[in-house]
Amino acid sequence: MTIDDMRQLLHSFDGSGFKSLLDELEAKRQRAFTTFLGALFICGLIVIFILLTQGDADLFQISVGLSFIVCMVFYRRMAVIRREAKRELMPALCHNIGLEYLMTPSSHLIAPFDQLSIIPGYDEKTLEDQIFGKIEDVDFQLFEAKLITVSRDSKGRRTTTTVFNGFLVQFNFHKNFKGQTIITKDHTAIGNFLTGWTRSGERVKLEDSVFESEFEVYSTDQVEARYLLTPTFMERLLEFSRLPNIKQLQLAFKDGSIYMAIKRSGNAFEGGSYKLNDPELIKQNIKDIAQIFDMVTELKLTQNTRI
Amino acid sequence: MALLIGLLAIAGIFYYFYLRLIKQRNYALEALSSIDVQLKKRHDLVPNILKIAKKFMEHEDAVLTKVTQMRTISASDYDKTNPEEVAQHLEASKQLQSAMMNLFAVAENYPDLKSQETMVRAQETYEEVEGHISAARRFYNSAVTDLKNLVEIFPSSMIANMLGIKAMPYFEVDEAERKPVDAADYL
Repeated sequence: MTIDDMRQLLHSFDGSGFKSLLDELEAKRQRAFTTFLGALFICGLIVIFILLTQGDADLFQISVGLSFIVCMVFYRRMAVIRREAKRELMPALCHNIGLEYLMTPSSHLIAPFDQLSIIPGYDEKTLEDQIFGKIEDVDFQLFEAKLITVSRDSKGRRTTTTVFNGFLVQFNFHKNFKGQTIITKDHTAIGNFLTGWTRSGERVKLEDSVFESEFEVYSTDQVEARYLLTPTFMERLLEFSRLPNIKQLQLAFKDGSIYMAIKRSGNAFEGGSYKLNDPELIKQNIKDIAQIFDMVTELKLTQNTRI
Repeated sequence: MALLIGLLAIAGIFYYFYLRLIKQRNYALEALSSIDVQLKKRHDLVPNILKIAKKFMEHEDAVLTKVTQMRTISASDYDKTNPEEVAQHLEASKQLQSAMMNLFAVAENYPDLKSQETMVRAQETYEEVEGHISAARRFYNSAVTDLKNLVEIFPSSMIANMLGIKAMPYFEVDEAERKPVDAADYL
């Protein structure tokens, strides 16, 4: 199946087989939502009652805390129903075009991206939505990652910061190479000087001034880095990095593969509508999956032209 | 005291540029070696291609002889520190590339040869080697530009003159490669 066939098949996906299931799940979600609102109302009343009658600050704080926990339990029921819809829909969408889907990827998948330092350091990670398979002859895998750093102030209060949210992708690359080449975002002269120490390999100075102004390249082999980053491929990377849904692109070549860390906004594969039986939900998931084809097309990863 | 500080400052500047010049010259020589590594791959591959081609291209003696001659010339020893000899060496390798391109162009007239699996594989390997040569050339030219700047711009030019360090020649792309590709030729 060619990439065009796959794209066409994806966009012509018939969601009618899922209608009854999604209707059923939507009804469950609405019931769960009503229950949640009821719990919220009752908890609110209890808290107000305690505040007005007891006047005890400790009791008030405890009641607020308990109310929050109770409301969260009911809120999570809605999330569980949503995941159930996703668990049914996403594998079907992927199987339809000959790809595989796993809702919870193995945590070791992030290891090469860590080792190549194309993702920032983090304390906590959430990995989901792994899609893998072959596009034409190119093996690939993609998963979504949210990386968080945790800091604590002098009083021990916990603050979290999302340092990365987006796709981590690995494609087999059509050229033979042995070394390691890393392409990171340019951090200006001082930033590059400071981060350069941590990179393995030597800095590679390339002739494309626009590419040089946006990226920094480090490689264990100067010739191989230029073999991989031909002038044409550099242009493709620049165009790809400027796509509207891409906030930042960092990539690396290692062990015959190209690894990409694509920072983007929002959570992918979650559908475009809150209602589970809204056709927009399937449409948005299709759009999200189609981004894999955009990567292949933009970077011409299936083209064996060696340029 | 002021004279001593002045002399020390001059010596410091001299040493700084001396260091940069030597480092850059060595870097350019390293880049030149990387070209030679890739050229050696091509050199080793050419006899295999000739062997396959000879079976089918009996009437193309001139083309095959030209490749053999250019291969011999491009493999001759040269002094890496002598810019003229380096230029001659790079020119010879360009000539070999042209001869090989000519061979592949003529091979188009021999459908049996074109469809030979060994020839297809050899041509693929050759293209890959050419890709590496092109990459090595970019690395070399980048190193040569940096060296050239140091050799030609004052005050490092003065020190380069004193040390006899010369700029090295660029490894230019062959004229045939500069021509725009006519897609019709491949249809």
